[in-house]
Amino acid sequence: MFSYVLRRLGLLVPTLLGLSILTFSLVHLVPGDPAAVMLGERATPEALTALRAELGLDRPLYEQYGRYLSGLLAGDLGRSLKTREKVAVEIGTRFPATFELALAAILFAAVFGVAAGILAARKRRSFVDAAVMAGSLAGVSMPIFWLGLLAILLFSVQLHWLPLAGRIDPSLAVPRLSGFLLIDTLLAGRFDAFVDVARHLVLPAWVLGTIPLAVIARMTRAAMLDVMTQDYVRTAWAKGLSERRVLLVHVLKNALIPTMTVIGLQFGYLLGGAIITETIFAWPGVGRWLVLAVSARDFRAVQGGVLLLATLFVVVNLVVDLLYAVADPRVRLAGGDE
Amino acid sequence: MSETRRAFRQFLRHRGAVIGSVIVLVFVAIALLADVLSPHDPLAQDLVHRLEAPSATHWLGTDDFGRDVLSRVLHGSRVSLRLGLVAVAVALLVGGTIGLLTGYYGGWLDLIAMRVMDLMLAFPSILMAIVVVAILGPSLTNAMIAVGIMAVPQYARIVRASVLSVRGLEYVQASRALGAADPRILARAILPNIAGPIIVTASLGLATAILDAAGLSFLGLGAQPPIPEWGSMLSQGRELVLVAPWVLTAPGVAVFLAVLGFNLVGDALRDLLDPRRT
Repeated sequence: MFSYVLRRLGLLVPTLLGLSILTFSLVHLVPGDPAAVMLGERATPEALTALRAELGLDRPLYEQYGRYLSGLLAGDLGRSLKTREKVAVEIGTRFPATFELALAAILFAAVFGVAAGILAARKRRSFVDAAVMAGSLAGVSMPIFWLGLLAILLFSVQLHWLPLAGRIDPSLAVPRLSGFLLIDTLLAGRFDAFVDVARHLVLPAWVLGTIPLAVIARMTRAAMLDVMTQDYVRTAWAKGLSERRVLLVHVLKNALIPTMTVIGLQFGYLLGGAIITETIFAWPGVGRWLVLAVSARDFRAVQGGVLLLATLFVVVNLVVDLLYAVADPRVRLAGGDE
Repeated sequence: MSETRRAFRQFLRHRGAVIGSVIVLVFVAIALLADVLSPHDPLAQDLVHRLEAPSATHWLGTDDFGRDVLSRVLHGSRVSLRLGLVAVAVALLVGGTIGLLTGYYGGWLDLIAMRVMDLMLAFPSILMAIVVVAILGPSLTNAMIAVGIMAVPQYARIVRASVLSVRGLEYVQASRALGAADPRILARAILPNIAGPIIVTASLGLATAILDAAGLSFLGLGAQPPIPEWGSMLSQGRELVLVAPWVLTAPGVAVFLAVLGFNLVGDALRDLLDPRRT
């Protein structure tokens, strides 16, 4: 196991280096002069020269990359060209919002997805099975930006059940400690604010969790059906065990291994893919900030945001792989060819 | 011929395939006939009749510029289908070529290209598209390229794996023994035999491409106003959700149905072309 972990960690280094090269190249792949693109058509020659010097564009490429990489290693992502704030600080203040949303969404998707998958597998070729499969097909075909708008229209505008947008009612603001509002409100002993934060989370988490829910339901169903044909399951039935025991203890335990992998991968996607949901619900996270940075052609901010989200995705995938190896010994014994 | 006919008959017996094909064909027909079917000019502004609810004159109402929503949705199918097709073509051309060459030749080319593909897969797809748009600037054409590029690693991997599975087969070796040049072997012996997985990936890829492109436009990073594109219409509808909800109903239904149609066809093709899956 130890050598497997080392091997996987070893693969992380070239991937992260590759990511750094890719984000570094972002500025250089821009057609024309990046400084001119950033400042627009009416930029003065002096401003252009100053920006080129600030970005280091007047230096040789290898030197530029060296400075970029050493900055990264020191946790320095440069300054936003629009706000002049440190990119690392800007991301740091927004990241808890993205993480809290992604976590809520994956919890929702995992609980309902696994339950729907089990139900469909248990009642294979029944109405329930057909309904789960049709629902999951609709889920993966659903434009979540539309679903989000409809959800706002129904639950916020028409029924007034849930708040329209944002993370918390401004009148209930609590001191920022962790940035995770569910935790901060509890630490402040403000239960009313905690409930408000939870209510703000419902719609975005539901919308963001829709596609993962569909994927997880399909995966759970397929994995359950796969395990149900195994000999040891037939033996369990033959021993006269109850359906509940066979399904939940013998089948689900093994079917959950591939399902857990899918849940982990989906979580990685959610961290980076919350961009659209954050935009719909005016959620003050990294994704929405990144879109604004792209529109403003603020390359330093885009570089930092993309690097952070991609790194998170890679790390989450690595953790999923390691957990998979813990759960299924065949993975780590399969050798290092993969 | 009989083989083709048998496959076609099987396709027609698949419920998902039939429903999906009907949906797709309706959208193709709408895209082709958008000019004839549209009751109004999709770009014509009429500020006197802005934000009107659905009526006999404007079946799906008007938007905040007084433009006819129905006409814009009908024309939107043209934009979205073209978007999807171009994006898949880009992905297929670039990814397919990479997969074909790396799978056939192997060696250092394979090693380097596949590491680059792995790196691209290290990005959640929408993030990859955003990187491309950040480089090229927001526009409809760049959205097509972005959505195409983000699918490249997927196509490269599938084509490569398919090539690897047939590369060592006897008929390929026979072709080589007969002195056929590499391009001929690739085009005549290998490509026709790996068409199945490529067709499946492309049809499912069309669904993803339409969805992702609409998502990019929704974020303001794809089609720019006044182009009647479903994603940007929804983005505009977001501002009007309180006053004119009809503006966002029709484009949303259109994206959903188009994506559903291609997903159904793709799933059916996978069922029929890959007997290992049930």
